[in-house]
Amino acid sequence: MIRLTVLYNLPPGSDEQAFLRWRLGEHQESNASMPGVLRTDFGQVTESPLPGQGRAPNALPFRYMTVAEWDTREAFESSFYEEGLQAELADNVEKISDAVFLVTEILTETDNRVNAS
Amino acid sequence: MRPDLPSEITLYGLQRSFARECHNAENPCRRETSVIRLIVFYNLLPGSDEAAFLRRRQNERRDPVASIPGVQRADFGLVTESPLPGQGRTPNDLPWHFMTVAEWDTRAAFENSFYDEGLQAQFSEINSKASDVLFLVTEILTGTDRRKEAS
Repeated sequence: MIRLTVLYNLPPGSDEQAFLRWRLGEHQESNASMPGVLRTDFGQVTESPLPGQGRAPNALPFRYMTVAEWDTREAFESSFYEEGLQAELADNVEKISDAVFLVTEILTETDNRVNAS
Repeated sequence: MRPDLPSEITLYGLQRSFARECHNAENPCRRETSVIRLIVFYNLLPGSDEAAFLRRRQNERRDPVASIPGVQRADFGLVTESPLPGQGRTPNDLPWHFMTVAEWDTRAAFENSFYDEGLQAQFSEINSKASDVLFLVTEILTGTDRRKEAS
């Protein structure tokens, strides 16, 4: 499985409510309809714990996270690197700041919900 | 629902219907059903044997976080690219080489588990064996799973 993780902030002065409405509505639909995407979600980063330091406060490097997953490397590449999608991405990143895109090949997975059923 | 979020929340199949039921409720029910995802990004210390690490991580140390109390799902992966948006396959440095994920069904389950003193001590030890470690805790607000919709 190939996972795309996008970590980002909003530019100073952004209307966070308007962003969340767009991100939870039309943009979620748009991400989910990308060719080959099997699963996609969006979340708000709430903490960046310092390992071993419990609830010690720490600045958040990113406020938001988007994840999309494809079954195979081939499916990911033909979808993500398609010219039209890249152009759309270039437009969409204008709405955000500090964006980091990470592509991860998932090597192991354990689902305790499946194991328990 | 949390006042700072729009009321239309979707979270996979079950939570989506739950969110609809709670649409007008004056209680924070959605928050109690949100998936909490811990992501740990990291690199290995200079001079580490990456091949040995990967072998161990896929065999005897396969998804150790899956045994943490309350963890519903866990995975481990190798970060292969950090694309620059809109720039296609233009090469870019990787900030991290590895990613570990663990998910809990509720905020309460996550907090009871993750902030346990014993587990924090273990994280402290793991941190000393890696570099550039970044822990991020994320509340998942919306999700779409085509596999579940198709089944």
